[in-house]
This record gives sequence, C-alpha cells and structure tokens, in this order.
Amino acid sequence: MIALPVAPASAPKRQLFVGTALISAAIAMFFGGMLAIFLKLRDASPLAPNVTKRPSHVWLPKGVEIPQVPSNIMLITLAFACVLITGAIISAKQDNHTSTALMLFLSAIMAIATINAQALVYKRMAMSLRGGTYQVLFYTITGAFLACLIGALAYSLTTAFRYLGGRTKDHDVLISLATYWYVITAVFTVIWFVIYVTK
Amino acid sequence: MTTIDTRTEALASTEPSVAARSLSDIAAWITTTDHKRIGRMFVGVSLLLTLGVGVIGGLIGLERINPNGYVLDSGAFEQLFSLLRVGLAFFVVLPLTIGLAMAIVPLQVGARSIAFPRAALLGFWSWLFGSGLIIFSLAGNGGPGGGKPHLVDLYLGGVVLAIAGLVIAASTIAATVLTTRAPGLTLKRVPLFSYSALVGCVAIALTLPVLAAATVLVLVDHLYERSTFGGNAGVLQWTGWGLSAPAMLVYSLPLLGAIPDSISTLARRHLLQRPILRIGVGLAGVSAAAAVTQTALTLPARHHSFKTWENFLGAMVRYIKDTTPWLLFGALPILGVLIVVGLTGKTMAAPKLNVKVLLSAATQFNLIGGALLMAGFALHAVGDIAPIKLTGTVYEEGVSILVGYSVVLLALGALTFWGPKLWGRRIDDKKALPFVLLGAAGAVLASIPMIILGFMKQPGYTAGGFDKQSATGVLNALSMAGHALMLATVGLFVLVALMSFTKGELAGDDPYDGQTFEWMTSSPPPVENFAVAPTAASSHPLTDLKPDGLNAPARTQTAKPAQTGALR
Repeated sequence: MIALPVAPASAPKRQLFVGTALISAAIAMFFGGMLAIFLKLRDASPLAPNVTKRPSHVWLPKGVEIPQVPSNIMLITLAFACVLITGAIISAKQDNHTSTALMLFLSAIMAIATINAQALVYKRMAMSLRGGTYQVLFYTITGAFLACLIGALAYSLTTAFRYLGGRTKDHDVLISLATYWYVITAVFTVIWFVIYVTK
Repeated sequence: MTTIDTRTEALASTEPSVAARSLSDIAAWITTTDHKRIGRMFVGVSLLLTLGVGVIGGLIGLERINPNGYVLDSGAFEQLFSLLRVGLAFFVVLPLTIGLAMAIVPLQVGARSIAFPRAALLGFWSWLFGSGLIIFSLAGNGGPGGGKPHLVDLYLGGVVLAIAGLVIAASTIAATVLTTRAPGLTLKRVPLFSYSALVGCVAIALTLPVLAAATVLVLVDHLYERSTFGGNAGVLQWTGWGLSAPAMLVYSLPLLGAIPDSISTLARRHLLQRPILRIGVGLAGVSAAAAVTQTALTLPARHHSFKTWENFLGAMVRYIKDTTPWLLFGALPILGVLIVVGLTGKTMAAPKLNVKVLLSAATQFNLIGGALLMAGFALHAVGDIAPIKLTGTVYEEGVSILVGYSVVLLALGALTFWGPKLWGRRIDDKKALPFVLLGAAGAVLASIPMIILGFMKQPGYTAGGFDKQSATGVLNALSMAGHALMLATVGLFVLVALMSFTKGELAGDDPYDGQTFEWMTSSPPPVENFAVAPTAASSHPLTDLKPDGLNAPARTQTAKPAQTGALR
C-alpha cells in the first residue's frame, strides 16, 4: 500500500475557549455543591438564624468574627481583575500590545492581592480548623477557592508571557482567560454573600 | 587505519536490544498522546477491574447465602460492599464509557487528534492512580466504615483524584465534538455515538464535581474534626448518591448512541428519524442529570380524594404537583432511551429484517445491553415510588448492578464492532456470540434476584437480618451465580479479543461498508487518524463518497501501519 501524505491540521474552532468553559462550569458545580452543603448544615444547626431568630453570627464559633473589610476588598479586586481582562481583550483587538501585556500582568497582581486579602482574613479570624462544623466548612470552601485563585494567577502569567513572546494574534487565549476570571468572580460573589455576608 | 568501523557485527551491535525496545515501547504507551491508545488503556484496565468487581459481587453473594455467619471476616463485608459500589461506578461504567468515547469519537468526527491530548492522558493517569488508592485503602480496612482512619483518608483522596481524572477526560471528549469536527460536519450531522458522548460527557463533567465537593468536605472533616459528617460511618451517607442511580444512569449515557450507530452500520441502512434520535439522547441526558440534583425524588403516597367536586380541583392540583417531578426526572429518561432503542429497532427492521445482521454478535450485545439499560432506567423510576417502600432494601443494589452490567455488554458490543478499526483485525462472530448469551444471563441473574429481594424487603448494605434458608437464599445464590457468569464472560471475551486482535482475520479498512468517517481511514488508523482531511456534506459522509451509495465497495484511504508505532 502506498501511504498518502499526512493531511494538514485543520484549525480547531475555539478549542481553548470551549475547554476552559467546560472546566469553569465544572468548577462552578464544585463550589455549588460545597455551598449547598454549607447551607444545608447551617439550616440544620440548632444555632441557625432562621430557626432561633437569633442574629446570624451565633452560627459562628464563639469569639470568632469575620473581618468584613478584607472580604469586601477581595470582591472589588476580583471585579477589577475582570475589567482589566476585558480591557486586555479590547487592547489586543486594537493591536495595542503594551496595553494588553500591562493589563494581563495587572490581572495577575489582582490575583496576588486577592490571595493576600484571604490570608489577612485567616489571620484576623485566628480560628483553628479543629473544633466544629463551621471551621471545617469555612476553611475547605475558602481554601478550595484559594486554589482556584492560584490557577487564575498562573493562567494570567502564562497568557502574559505568551503574549510577550510574540503570540499577539491568539485572541482565543485571552477570551478563555477572561471566561475563567468571570466564572471564578461569579463563584466568589456567591461565596462572599453566603459565607461573608449572611454567614 | 580508519576511525570508521565497517564490520557488520559492529553495525548490528548499534541496534537497540530487545529489552531496550520493550522499554521504549512501554515509555511510548505511558506518555502517548494518541487518543486511540489512551482510550484503549482506559478500556483495558477497566475490563480487568470488571473482573475484580465480579469476584467481589460473588463474595458478597456467598456471605448472603452462608447460614453460619460470615465466610470472611465480619468487618470485611462493609469493605467488600463499598468496593462493589465504587467499583461499578468508578472502575466499570465511567472508564468504559469514557475510554470507548475517547478512542472512537475523534475518528467519527474526522479529527486528527482529540482536543487537549495531554489533558486526556493526565485524565487517564489521574483516574488510574486514584483507583489504585481506592483499592489499596479498601483492602487495608479503609474506606467507608473502615477501621484505619489514615486509610479512610486515603480512600477519600483516591475518590477525589479519580473524579478529577474522569472530569478532565470527559471534558476533552466534549471539547473534541464541539471544536474539532471536520468541515461540513455540523452538530446535526454528527454520528449518534459522538452526539451521546457529547451529552454524556457534559453531564458527567457537571455532576461529578458535586460528588468531589462532598468528598473533599468529608475528607477535611475526617482529617481534622470527625464530627460534622459522621466520621467513617458518614462517608457513604454523604457520597453514596454518586455510586448509585440516577448518577449511574448519567455515567452510562455516552454509550447510548453506540446502539443506533453500530446497528445501522451493520444493517447497511441510514438511521431513521435522526432528529428524534437526538431528542431521545438529549431527553435521557438532561433529565437524568437533572435527577441527580433531586435529593428526595419520590412519588408520594399522599391520598388524593376526588369524591366531591369541592375537593376535586384541590386534589387534582396536589396530584399534579406530586407526580410532575417524578415524571420529569424518573420517567422522562426512560422515554429517551425508549426512543433510541425503538428507532434503532425500526431502522434494522425496515423494510425487511436482515436476520444475519440481527444474529451478529455486535447487534446482539447492543440490543440486549440497550434493553437491559432501559430496564435499569425503568426500575430506578419504580424504586422512587414511595408506597412500594423499597428504600433501604437490596433493590437499589440490584438496579446499580443491572446498569453496570448492561454497560459492560454495550462495551463488549462496541469492542466487537469497532475493534476491527482499532486493531485492524476482527473477532469471529461465532467466537463472540456465546459471550452474548453468557453475559446476558450473567447480567440478568446478578441483578434481577436482588430486585425481587428488594420487593421481599431484604435489607441492603448487610449480609444478615433476613432468613437465609427460604427463597431469599435461592435468590441470593442466583445473584452470586450471575456475578460468576459475568466474570467468566468478561474474562473469556478479553482472551478471545486478545487472540483475535493479534492473530485474527484481517478486517480491511471498511469491513461493514460504513457510513461515517472512522471507516474512511486505514485499519488501524495512523497516529494522525486521517491521511487526507475529510469533509462532510451529510450525516453519512462516507456513503456520499461511494459511487453507488450503500452496498458499494468502499473508497478508503490507506496509510502505513508503521506510522502508528509498535505495541499495537
């Protein structure tokens, strides 16, 4: 048999975007599951606010207070990161390379800032992981989100270096990065409301 | 004097030794990014693990028929039972469906490779390592209810790792169908197997993370606190839903489309009512995935009094309110599977039934596997009818076994049908047909007695608490025999397949006069799948290339087998 020459690679249709969207949806379901269990256990608790008509902070362990300022700053920082990523996409479409690279690096800095704010929340709360249901749920959910933030940081830096390396026409990567940032910001908005606001 | 040694012995000595070649081949398999190899690794390991699940099913049956307490250590039963549940979901159904989809779907959609091939390989190794941890921890008295806390932690970590691998692998398959289709192959024209793989893999990628979330919370609690989630005893309470129906039905979805695809190709007929078939797959997928989100989905036993006109409307509203969730999440998936199996049967029978095709091993595996899968969907819905009171009995176990083993039969059918494409050689029908009967008998015997015992209120999750001397003993013995038959089926089929795919009759590139892209390339295909990029103008693109349509000699591509590497 005579071998035919290998066919040229056909251009995949927004492969990275679809892959990122699928994994982002899986991440959203992961946090959805965790928060559902958080709400279920909070409602089942004898200290639950809706059962006892007591203020919500009684669900928290004694002496523990959630610092509001750093958690609010986390939300604002993530929202700002989304704005930066959107700006990076617009700049890339306008072939403004300096602005795109700058915005990508700034989004990475936003991720570091959010991680720093989360560390501050942990430090100020000074709550042991051992000792009760709330502690387990709080640290697991926020810890898992911290892992997602580290993923966002790595994704932003990789995209920025790819861009600086000359792959300036690859807009699909930027759109994929934006999708990931939008989803984790949406996830954090729910975490912020459930864990930091309504507790 | 020359510095070049021209002696032939010296030339021979530069050849790599047999050991070096073997090591190189093994390394090539371990690090492969060829979707066909990764898919075959998934299927191969899964079939071996299926043998283990059969042994465990048999041992559980033995414990249940033994009148004098426990045959094994009394504490081992919970571990065995956990291994059966975890095994059916994570070692049998999920890797078989995902592995077959990974091997076949890129070929069907005319792609040169799977989307994110390195991620697909990562998915396989993550699943394999996680499965290894699960087996190791359960064997060492870990797992749900286990006596060694650090092995319970290891079990939970293994489950999370296996889930991560399966979600990544499922995502690569879904991304392949969505992004790497050949020009002209719209989603409406995608072969049914690829379509069901898309629906099933998206459903898996959305449901398994919820199970992972519960498992991570149980793991952290078990590591540090052991109060919130009930310690060892609470593991199955919080994560058990992911190991039984309706989650099991979701895991089986990718293989649903293999039934119409293989039977229509064998019958050399175009599928009838393709849009309705797609609706059927979608119905089964969406409603089964939605059913997983329902924590207490039962058809209530509330009495509806329609006797007087005053309470007629109120009773009617309550009746609709009670039955609608059950109809949506329990009954609708059955309709979906019924559409797929029914229209496949109609395609095969119209205008005239081809008995030779009907009696072929691939058709029989698919028809019987499909019928049993449909029975699994239906029996799960029956189990949700509250007045029958099947909760807590062995009924649920029976449904899981039925779904698990029907997927095994479908997978054996898929291997018989697509094996010639993947290995270039075919399994003789006469050799494969006995396994259809053996496997069908095994699947029915292993599960149906459990379902009957559920109606007889035999308690689940235990080997005691019921009369072992009466009819229950006979039914438990039949179930044990069913597991043994399934074990024999898979074991012997694997042996026959190994012999056939290495020394069997050469299949040719298009042995069934196929209609879809996978039959266009050589058997086995080269690493890049296609020598020439295919294009589609209809849902049966290969038929369009043949001068006389169906029933015509194939005009296929050929490629050097050498391109595919060694250790096929």
